[in-house]
Amino acid sequence: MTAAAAFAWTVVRCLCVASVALPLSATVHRLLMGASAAVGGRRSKRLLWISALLPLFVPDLLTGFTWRLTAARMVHSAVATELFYATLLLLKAVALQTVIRLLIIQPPDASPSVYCWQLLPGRSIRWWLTWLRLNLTEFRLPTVVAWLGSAVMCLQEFEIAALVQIDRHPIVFSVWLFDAHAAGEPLRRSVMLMLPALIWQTCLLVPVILLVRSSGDRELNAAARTPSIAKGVHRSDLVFGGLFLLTAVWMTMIQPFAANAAELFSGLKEVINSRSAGTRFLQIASSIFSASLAAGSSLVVVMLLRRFRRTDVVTCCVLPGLSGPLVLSLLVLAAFQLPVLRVLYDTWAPLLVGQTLWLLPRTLLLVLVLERFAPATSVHCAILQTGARRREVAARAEQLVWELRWRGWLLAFVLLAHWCLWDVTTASILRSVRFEPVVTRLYGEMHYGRSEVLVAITALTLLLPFAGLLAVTAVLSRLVSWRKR
Amino acid sequence: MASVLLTVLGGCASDGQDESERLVLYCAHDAQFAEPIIAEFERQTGIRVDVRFDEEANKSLGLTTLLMSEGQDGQQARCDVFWNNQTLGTIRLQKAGILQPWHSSSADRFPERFRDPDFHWTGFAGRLRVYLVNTDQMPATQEAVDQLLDGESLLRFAVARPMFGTTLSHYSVLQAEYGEDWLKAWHTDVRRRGVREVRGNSMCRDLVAEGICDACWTDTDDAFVALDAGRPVGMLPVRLDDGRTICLPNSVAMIRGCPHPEAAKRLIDFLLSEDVERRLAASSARQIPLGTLDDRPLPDDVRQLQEWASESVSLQPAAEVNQAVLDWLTAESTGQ
Repeated sequence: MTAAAAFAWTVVRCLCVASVALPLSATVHRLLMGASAAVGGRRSKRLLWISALLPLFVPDLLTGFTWRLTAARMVHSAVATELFYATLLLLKAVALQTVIRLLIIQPPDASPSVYCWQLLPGRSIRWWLTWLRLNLTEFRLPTVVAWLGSAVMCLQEFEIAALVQIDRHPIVFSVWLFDAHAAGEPLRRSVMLMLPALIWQTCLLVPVILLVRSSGDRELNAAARTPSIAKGVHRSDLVFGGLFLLTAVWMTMIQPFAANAAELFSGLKEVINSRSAGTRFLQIASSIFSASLAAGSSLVVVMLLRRFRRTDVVTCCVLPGLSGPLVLSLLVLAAFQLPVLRVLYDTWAPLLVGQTLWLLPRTLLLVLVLERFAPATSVHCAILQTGARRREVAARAEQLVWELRWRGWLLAFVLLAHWCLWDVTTASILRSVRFEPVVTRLYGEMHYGRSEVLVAITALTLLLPFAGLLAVTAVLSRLVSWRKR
Repeated sequence: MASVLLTVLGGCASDGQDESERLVLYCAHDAQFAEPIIAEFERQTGIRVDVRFDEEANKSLGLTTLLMSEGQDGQQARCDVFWNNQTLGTIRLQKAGILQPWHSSSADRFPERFRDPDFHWTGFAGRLRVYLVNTDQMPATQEAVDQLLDGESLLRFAVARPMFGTTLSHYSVLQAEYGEDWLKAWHTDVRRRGVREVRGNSMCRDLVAEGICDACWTDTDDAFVALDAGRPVGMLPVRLDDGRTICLPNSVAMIRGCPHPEAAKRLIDFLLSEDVERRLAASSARQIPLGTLDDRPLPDDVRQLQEWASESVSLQPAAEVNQAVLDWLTAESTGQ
């Protein structure tokens, strides 16, 4: 199969998955917003939110490993294999689109900008282009950004495809490129083969940057969210959204757990009793630490990039990340093998640089969305309120500042670190000799057929950051309550 | 926290160990079997070994390619010793001038067909290419396998992608034995009949163990994972027309211009020792000892493998055509 055929197949799948995900994510979004406005049931609300976001946090390794034999049973039908893979992608696409819809303030029913523009005489091309932009930014921003963002994510997906692929199906460009390079294609040719995908992703990302930037301060439209909340949950949203979430939870959580639960406990016992238990815990902790550093540095880089008001500069900076983890990692590796950087070759620098660059496009998307979510004026008002004489008002304002300013950033940081922690390509190519990231170890365990240990280490790698996050949250809430007193 | 920092920043920081008392090993052998052996070497010699394993995620992209790229432009090598889990990739490195000869005294234990005449590399502890058969579906006999392979449909027969790993070596042996035209015609024919190509030997094993396929090509270490798990499988060696088997030894070599040559020589001597071969034979991978051994008995299943390995084909002719086979398969796969 040629690169063009593999690429075309992948693009069509991405566009289909991103498009099918749109109504589903809209339904899930309405369900979440309606449920949030409903009285009581705090635990079930939290469960609903977790269900909606779960596919973004379940490692692709676990999903692919769990479903690889199911895909294998479909080996006699290429259509079934393709549909099965597309379904797994759809779960992630809907979750990402839901996050974007949650973060971008919902559009109003009417827009003064569009109304005024329509009053202007003349129907030149420029008029129509501006009319289109205004309509997109005023009414369709969450939909457009969600669609483009999920299409980029689907295009870059590699691990699930690699694990469920038999013969040539599903046909996935990232896997095709990996195989071509692994079979001996030189780096220069791999870069050339990657170019169409790079151009395509740039075409998807640039409109996102332009649209989000030109959407203006949507704070005044915040009230538009209220009516949908007030309506509560519509029955059709409850049925379709609920069914979809149940499917997502089953495929990404229940089935993997059910398939591996028996091995989990014996695997945990084996890990804890083995002589290398300390090494394994240290390996997990250092992998989390390393991923967090890369996530933090990508956030810092994007914040610095935001000072450039020129879209072309920003786009150029995120381009390496769009080339995908394989080509990017190989380029970074080659750069650190040059005499001028050779001194840093066997350090942790290549991994940090590679992972930071890989995260930049995703970070940029999240930051753009977050900045829209927490307009400066709202934050400023909340900060002023923290000086209120009434303690309840001041405490509520502090909570508001936290919600407006930091909660979204924390979520973005966690999501980025999570993606980084579970990306095996950058980790395996760019790590130094003395640091073995846990995710590369997991692939080894899978190959050795030691599924008990694989499941146990996966569970620990998932649970340790979660436990850490809970501990941090507990400490923070203690601090807040102490300040309230 | 300090340990975490040290681990992450390990490449930058020295942990106080004398630089002459450590070395860097690139190891393509599975970590679970290699780690205890490396630990034993560290215990015996006091030399600290920093190991980079060949991640399964990377397939063949890993260590051989990495060593090739590190060996360019006369740069100072990072790696001291390469422990490959087969031989043909090591021979490619030798041809590229990446390896430095070292005549280990332990190397004389091995038959000449398992080592380089100039001692650029030495083979030890091998695996065999085998058919793994689901015994619920068909008997694990040569006749039954031949019948399956001669049939019109190969939809229930699995092989790993031939561009990588031991299947590439297997293809190279076939080309060396039967010629390029035969291999291409055979490859086209099995594809036409629907042979299942999966991404690795372990996936082949799983398909057969689960009954999704009836039989596959794989290696003995993968086959034993299914056998030890009590799956309904049996194995028999892949044989060429003249009855010879395909044994793929591990190989060990020193890297040209490596930073710790003395420590590297000690590690190579250690890896080629009888004790290490016995340890690998006793592991669940049942690596087959290829050198002379004393009279202590081996496990029963390893003795059977040893008999099969003694009938194996020489890999030198396969090494000659290995790159050509890879180039052809790559061109075919990428539609060039």
